[in-house]
Amino acid sequence: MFIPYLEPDDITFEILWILFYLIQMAFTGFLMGRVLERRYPVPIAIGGWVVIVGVPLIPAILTMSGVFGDLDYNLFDGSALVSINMLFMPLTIAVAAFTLYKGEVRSRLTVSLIDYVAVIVGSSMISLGVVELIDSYFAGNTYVDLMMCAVAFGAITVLLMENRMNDELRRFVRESRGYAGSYMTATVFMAICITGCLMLWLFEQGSGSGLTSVICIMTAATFVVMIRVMFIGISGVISYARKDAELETARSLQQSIIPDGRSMDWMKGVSIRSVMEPAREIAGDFCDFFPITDRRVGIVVADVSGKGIPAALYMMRCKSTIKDRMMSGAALEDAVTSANSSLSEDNPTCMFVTAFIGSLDLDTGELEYVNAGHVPPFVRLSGDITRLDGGRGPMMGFMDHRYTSSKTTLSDGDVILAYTDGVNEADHGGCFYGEDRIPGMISDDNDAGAIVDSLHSDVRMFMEGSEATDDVTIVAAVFRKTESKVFEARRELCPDAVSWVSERFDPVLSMKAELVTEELFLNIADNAYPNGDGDVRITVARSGGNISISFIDSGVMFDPTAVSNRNDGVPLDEREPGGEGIHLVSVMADSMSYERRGDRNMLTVSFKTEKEEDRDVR
Amino acid sequence: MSDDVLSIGYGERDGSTVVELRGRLDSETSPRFQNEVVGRCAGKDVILDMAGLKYISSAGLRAILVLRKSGSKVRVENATGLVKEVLEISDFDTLMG
Repeated sequence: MFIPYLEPDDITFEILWILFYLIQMAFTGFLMGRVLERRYPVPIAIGGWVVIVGVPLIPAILTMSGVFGDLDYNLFDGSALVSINMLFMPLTIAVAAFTLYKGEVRSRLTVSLIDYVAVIVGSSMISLGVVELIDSYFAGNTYVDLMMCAVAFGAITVLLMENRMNDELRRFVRESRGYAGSYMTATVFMAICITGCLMLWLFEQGSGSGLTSVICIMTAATFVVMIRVMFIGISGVISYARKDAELETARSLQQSIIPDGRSMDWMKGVSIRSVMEPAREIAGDFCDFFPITDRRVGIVVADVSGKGIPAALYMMRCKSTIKDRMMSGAALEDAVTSANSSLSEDNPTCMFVTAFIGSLDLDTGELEYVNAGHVPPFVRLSGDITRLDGGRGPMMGFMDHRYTSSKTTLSDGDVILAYTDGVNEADHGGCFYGEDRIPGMISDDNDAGAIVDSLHSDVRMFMEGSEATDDVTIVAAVFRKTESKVFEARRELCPDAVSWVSERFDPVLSMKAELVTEELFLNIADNAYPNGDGDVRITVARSGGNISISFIDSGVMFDPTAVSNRNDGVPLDEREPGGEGIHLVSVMADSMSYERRGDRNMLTVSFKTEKEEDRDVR
Repeated sequence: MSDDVLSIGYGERDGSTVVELRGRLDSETSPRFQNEVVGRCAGKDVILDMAGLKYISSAGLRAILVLRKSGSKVRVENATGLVKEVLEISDFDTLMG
């Protein structure tokens, strides 16, 4: 559209000018990005703006004052200057955006920026169209053209931008005014420069009609508003980006401290899986699983009132307080009562938390639990699906209360399915997900992970297209009857350990089990406790087609799976005694895994109970 | 756990001492094997008849190594089941004749 203002006979000169502007705009955008990022102090930035806005005026002024002789390119009369400035404004914004977000593009932010750029480009296109239309009436009156273009461009930009800003961005723009205040000096300065530039051009035009003046003032005002909105918008985006980045860190921190159940797999006897999906970046929901002793597991599923940052902060406090009290060795009732008192203190904002808190004895299957105002979990007890209705007390955090627990006993394969109200109150167009579909999820599945996945995906499917209004937490725990016994780690007790294990295996595998037990027990007895006595806990667990023997000791760290067979290929006469046992175990067992957890060595050796294995006889 | 004990019987064949092992050769019983068999057969040719042996652990293998180190030539016969498997895993099957 500005081409008509250029004399087409010196195309090189035109291209040079356009290049000049491209570079200027790119540099402007870069500087804008850097300033907004606070890499430069404001005074230096203002100096930069002076150069940026001032330098392009020099050739225009020089041309007008006749330094280049009688060259009379319209290009230099100021109209082209402004029109090019406007046309390249999108570039400025784009470069600023790129400089700012290069390297830390976040999905939501990207959407906002794409919106942003689309608005600028869109408004340019529309304003060009409007100007072309008007142009046909005013037949090449560049002056009117340009005024209309500026007004249209500015107005459309402001309108579209305001319209396209999503609620969140708008909120941040509003909240970030103080934050963005330090950039305002630069913003206003730029607006003044551009206005000044326009004025200069108008004087050059020498036209003094009233209409011209009005349009001139409108144009200047539009520019000021437009640029101000751009800056506030960009500051908002930056502030948003910062909060976004902080929230992202907080989110991953929170997700990393909320266990998914896998960390409890070593306990044998219970298989726990969970999912916690925040409605916003961070959640007030949490779940927690921890060993209270080697054979007792704490299970907590909780929902803090509210959402977002306040809820997340209180959630951290709840999580550590409840775990701390449960680990103290106190009875469950006392632990919960004491946690509640602690959470009720110094709680001026009156946050509260609903929680299902259970303590499961893996040897007996006894589940003791307290329900502090939480939605009662479902259980499948020997095939019957019911709810854990007992142990009720008020939600925690706002008044002292003496909690009482209830007990139920789980048998092999029993399932607990606990969740937060983000599940049953999942909202799709005013309809709640409800609870009718939940029992179906545990009717026949024995795999904790599959139960969690099926409920989670069902809830998601239900909510398809609706925004999540509450955090969703789902926890499934499948009890596996295991047997476990603690032995003193002394050589003399090896036969006791071997026969205890052997009795728990059928004859097909009992010999191998005996061999494995003897070798590993003696290894622990001989090496784990060089400075005294200690224990080893042996657990036999069945699951699926596997039977496993676990050895847990708190002796010096030793990973048998990392031991190479030093006798491999060594002639018998040259062999050093020892080392043979571990090798035998690793070959005899179908799998062997080791983990050092805290001060404990945990070694698990499993065998397949299915008949398919006919070990290759070498 | 059947045949908790180790019983050791002796015989002669072709100038070698035949040691018949029954029961279990494990950490419990191998000290006895070591004391008795090594004391009695050190330096001689020994045939270990494992037909009645149900169970052997690395402690048992160690005892056999000790017997070899005492100068005996050791041959193993009739190993079956788990015992055979253990010997194979530990390359003791080179002793099987």
